Amino acid sequence: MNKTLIAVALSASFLSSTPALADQVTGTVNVSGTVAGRCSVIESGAEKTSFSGNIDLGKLDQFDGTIRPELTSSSSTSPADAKKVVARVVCTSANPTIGVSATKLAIANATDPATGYANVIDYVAALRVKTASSTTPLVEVKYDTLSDTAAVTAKLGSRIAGGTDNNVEVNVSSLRTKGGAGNVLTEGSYSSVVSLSIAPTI
Amino acid sequence: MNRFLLLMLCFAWSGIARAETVQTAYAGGTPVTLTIPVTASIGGRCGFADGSLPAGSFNKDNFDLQGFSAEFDFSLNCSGPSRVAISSSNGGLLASASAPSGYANKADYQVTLNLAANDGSKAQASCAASLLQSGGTCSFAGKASATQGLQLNTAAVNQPGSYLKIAAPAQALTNAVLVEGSYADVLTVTVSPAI
Repeated sequence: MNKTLIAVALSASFLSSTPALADQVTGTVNVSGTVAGRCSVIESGAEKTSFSGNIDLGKLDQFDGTIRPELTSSSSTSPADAKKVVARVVCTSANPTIGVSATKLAIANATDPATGYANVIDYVAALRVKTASSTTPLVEVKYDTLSDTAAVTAKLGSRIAGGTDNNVEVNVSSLRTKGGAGNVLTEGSYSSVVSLSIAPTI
Repeated sequence: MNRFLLLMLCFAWSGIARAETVQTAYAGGTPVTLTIPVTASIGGRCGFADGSLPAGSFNKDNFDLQGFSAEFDFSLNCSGPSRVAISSSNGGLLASASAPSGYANKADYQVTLNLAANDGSKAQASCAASLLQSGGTCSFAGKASATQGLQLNTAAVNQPGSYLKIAAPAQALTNAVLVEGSYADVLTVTVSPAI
């Protein structure tokens, strides 16, 4: 009889002593990634590396054949014919560099006209960029085709303005006839190119 | 007297009773029938199979432009129902750089947890990493316990087929721009026996 009871007792002992294992076991997964410094144009819901636009000033001359004076008196804050090209640019970098250069407004492949005439117009091309800074909300670089020979650049000093609104503006102003305002502009199509750069500061 | 002590010993070991053993004892030649509750329990054996933890590292450069996807396979080793939970240290990929208005320094991503049992059954759920941070509302957020975490109802003894998947698409152009820099998050995966 004792054997039976002891067997029961041992059986209970064995079952009770089975260890309950740790109630929590841990694994660790490290997730990482990088966002590179870049600037992109957001246009029509797509990301692009460039943008383009057109500033058509129409008829350049006034009644006497000289340049319209309002084109000459215009400024980057009050551009020629109030025309401008705008864009939305995003930059992941904290302090991008912006730059602008331009070619003279001229009749392509034209030779120098006679005295008292002109077929080249100098002007100022301006790149105006809104920033995220409350103290300097706008930074502007200007290139004068008359005096500048290399692109004019500047660090933005802060991030380019975020959000979905356009934050970049390009305009032209201060148009000046080569040889003087009294020269008559010769007939033809005048064209030029403004080149811009907005890039992470290296 | 010895018989009595042995009987008492049996009672002392019994604990919570689930099975009963009927024994017959004799006292002074008169049969006496005793019912002796015998209690036994086996603690839930639950963990990850040896060498098959949900552990590792994943890095994706330019994830803002390209998105990412990665899977971490693991094997459960649970003798009964189990629960698995995940916590995210940052609630997304977080950079140390500050983010002014219109920018962001945290990128959310999706975490999918799939658990496989020996009998072929599965449990699966997905949550944004932002819901896995402390206090997050994801059903498998936090630390696993008997009542917390994604539950697998049957045993998974050294059972492969479980995985943790992380994924994110390229950042939408309508989202705030992620600032340049290095981003990181740590997912901690825990497993526990379930009730």
